Amino acid sequence: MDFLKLVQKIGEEYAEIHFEERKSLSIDFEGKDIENISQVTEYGGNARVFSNGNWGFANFIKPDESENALHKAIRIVKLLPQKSDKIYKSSPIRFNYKDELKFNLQNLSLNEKVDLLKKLYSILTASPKIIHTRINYSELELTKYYFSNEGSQIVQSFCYNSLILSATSKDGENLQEATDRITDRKGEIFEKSEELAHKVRDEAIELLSAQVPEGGVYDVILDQEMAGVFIHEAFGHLSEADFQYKNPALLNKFQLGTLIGAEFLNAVDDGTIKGEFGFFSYDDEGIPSSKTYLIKEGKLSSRLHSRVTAETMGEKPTGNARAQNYTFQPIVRMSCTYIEPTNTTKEELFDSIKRGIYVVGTKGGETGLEQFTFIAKKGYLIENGKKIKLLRNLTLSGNVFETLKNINGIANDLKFSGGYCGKFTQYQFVSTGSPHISIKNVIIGGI
Amino acid sequence: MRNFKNLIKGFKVDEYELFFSNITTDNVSFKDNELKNIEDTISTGYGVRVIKDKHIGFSATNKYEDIKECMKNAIDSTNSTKRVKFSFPETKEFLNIETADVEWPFEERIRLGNKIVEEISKINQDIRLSVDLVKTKKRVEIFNSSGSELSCDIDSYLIVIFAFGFLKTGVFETFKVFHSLKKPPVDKLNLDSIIMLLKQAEQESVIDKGYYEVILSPIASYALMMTFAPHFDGKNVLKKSSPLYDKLNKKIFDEKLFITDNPLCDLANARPFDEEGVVAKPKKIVEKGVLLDFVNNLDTASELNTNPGNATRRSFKNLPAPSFSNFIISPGGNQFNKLLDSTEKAVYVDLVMGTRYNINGDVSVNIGLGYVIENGKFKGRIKNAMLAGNLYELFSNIKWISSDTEEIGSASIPFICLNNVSIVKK
Repeated sequence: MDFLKLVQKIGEEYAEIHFEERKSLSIDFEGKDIENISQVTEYGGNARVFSNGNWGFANFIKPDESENALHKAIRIVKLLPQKSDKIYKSSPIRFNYKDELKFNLQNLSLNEKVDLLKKLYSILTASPKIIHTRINYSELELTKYYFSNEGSQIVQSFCYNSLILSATSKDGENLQEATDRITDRKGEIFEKSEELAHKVRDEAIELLSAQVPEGGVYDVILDQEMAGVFIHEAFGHLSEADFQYKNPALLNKFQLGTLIGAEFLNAVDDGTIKGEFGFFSYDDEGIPSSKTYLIKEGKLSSRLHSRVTAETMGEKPTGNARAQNYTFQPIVRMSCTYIEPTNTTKEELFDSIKRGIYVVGTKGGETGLEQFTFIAKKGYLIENGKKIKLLRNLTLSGNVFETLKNINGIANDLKFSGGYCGKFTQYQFVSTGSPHISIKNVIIGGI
Repeated sequence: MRNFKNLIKGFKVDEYELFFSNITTDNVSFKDNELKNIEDTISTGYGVRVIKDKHIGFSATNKYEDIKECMKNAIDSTNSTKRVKFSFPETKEFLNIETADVEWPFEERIRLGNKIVEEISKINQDIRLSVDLVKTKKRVEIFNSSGSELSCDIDSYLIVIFAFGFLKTGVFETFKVFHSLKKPPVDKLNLDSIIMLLKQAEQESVIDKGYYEVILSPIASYALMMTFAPHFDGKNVLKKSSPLYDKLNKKIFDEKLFITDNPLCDLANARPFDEEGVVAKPKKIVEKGVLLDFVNNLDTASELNTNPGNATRRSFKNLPAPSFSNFIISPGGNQFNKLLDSTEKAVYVDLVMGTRYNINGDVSVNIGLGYVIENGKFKGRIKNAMLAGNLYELFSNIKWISSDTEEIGSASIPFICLNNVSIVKK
């Protein structure tokens, strides 16, 4: 099927066809048993048409259904009343990309992968206090094709690999669980897997002796993982222009140039970092990914855009329109979002805390735009710069603008983590990153 | 179903199962108070399971031509996977789910969406509404070596309203879901509670950190309960990684609490058979606070020597796992408004944020939208507050459960008042 020829026949303001091919493998251990080995192949595409300020969308499975989907999208868009939205137009692009692999996991047989994972199981269970483990291993090879009536043809082949390890520990009635993950785009996933298994096991055991914090307001230090999720969840989503562009109240809060943090605070979204989980060359509207300063020297600097939000708001597109798969339309998503490091050391941050909490890792979080809540993997009570007590069930909460103002230290040890972000029922591959940061007056939930 | 028997000829397996699903959805979607999109989507595919020498294998594809390749992959994987004790079920008869394919024209949905937006935004111009008016048709077919040849078609109509805005008192957000299997749920549509919550959110109230009676909205109760739903999963029970593994027939909640899994009622996950072909039946999970059962698929049921029937697949690409279908908390004896009238002081929680699975049932969540109740009246919203505790302890100390319930997609939940809940405040 000549998708480019098909879409170029469309005389509407803008039209695109996507097609993708997916091949995935997942291996799931529950304890010592391999619960599941699943190999899945899938293909499909969609057609999107923009006209009179609106989008029409229809997806298809087989390539020969694409013309039908395109006409359905046109019929749909004609049903919608005219709107003032505009769309950014670009010059035609021809581009091909394939992830550079350090090692091709396809060169390992299924049995070899199973044996490597069994080794991780034996590391995880090397203590009688561990009563249960889970191992989830997955590989995804994804090739995405994009064609537009601007004459663009973009083909990108990506690979996403992930390993999640969980260990449950028990001491009497006390059950604790530790989970951690590696993500990978280069085929190196097994290189750090044993180290991860040791870490997860030791953390599960350690948590048995952790205490629940007394709820209250504390000065905190966030480790790189938690700080990365904080900037992504608490602030990054606010920067997504599809939340803002029809919401005058949010636009008012988010006026570019507004001072929202200290001068040393810089936050970036950058889809161009090769090898990171959130990397891509072109977004799902054929716009190149870019490095965008969301906060620069403490001031709101830019938003993240799709073609429509950019043009409608009179700003430059940033290449952040992404769709989970061919059954979804692209929406504005982050890529690799991080806080830039400074020259301060982590030790200096600790020295500045008389009494506070050191928050380590994250099990996830949620944002209601202005409000956020995050759950930590563990933490420590800090007194006079020293960690004195291990804590569990640590939840942070607050107002994002107040919290950004209260960031009073950023260290020099930037680190990235790959993962998945949810927005409007869509999941997306992202990276988050940060150095250690210190924040005053954060609400910590406890009993 | 197409001629699967021919495709699997020549493959030497002891048992096989083909699962097929085809889901078409059309959604008229409003965002930021205006019509945003009409989307037409289809998702279709095949999941193949085989049992060979008592080992189970799985593979999936959405290309019919690749089913043979799927069989090969599934058989290959049996070299490494665990042994299973179950067989695929022979199901010949099942109760039909009453559902109807009714026209719901786009124009009608657009009019309704506009009306919803108008009704709520006239209360407060700063409110931004997202409204989704969705019609879904789902066809499932299951064909297995035990002789089951099952198919069902389920139609589903959904209205989801999400209201969000920056008020003087802070961010306001709430949502409501209306669902039906038989026709667009226009007669169930009721905006009164959103309007009431919005009006009451215009003023702020202050509380101190401490212990309070907490009234949970149906949505808040459901969100909290879903954080420990995995404790009822037969897989976790088997592995003893659920705190409930040794609590069967023991009291785990307040005696006012009754929980049922019911795949036959008019909620979003209604089905005549589960996604392994086991006939669907209601299952009492908790009665008078006592744990009676877990949710199980064929695999976990065979290991625990109990009944399956709770297998759900996230999609054709996923294995069937134990899961609640329609989650029902039985209503109590008195209406919410009457119970509220007799409340001296409490915190009403409409929405919680930051819910996550916890192995012990410990919870510490942000109160996304909450209010002070004094002498039966809403006295303004609270901000920057969190509630914390252990869910087993919290739901063992229930003051009352209302007789009125709300349907939230695949759940039916009443209002629940808990005694003595820790609230942390900035």
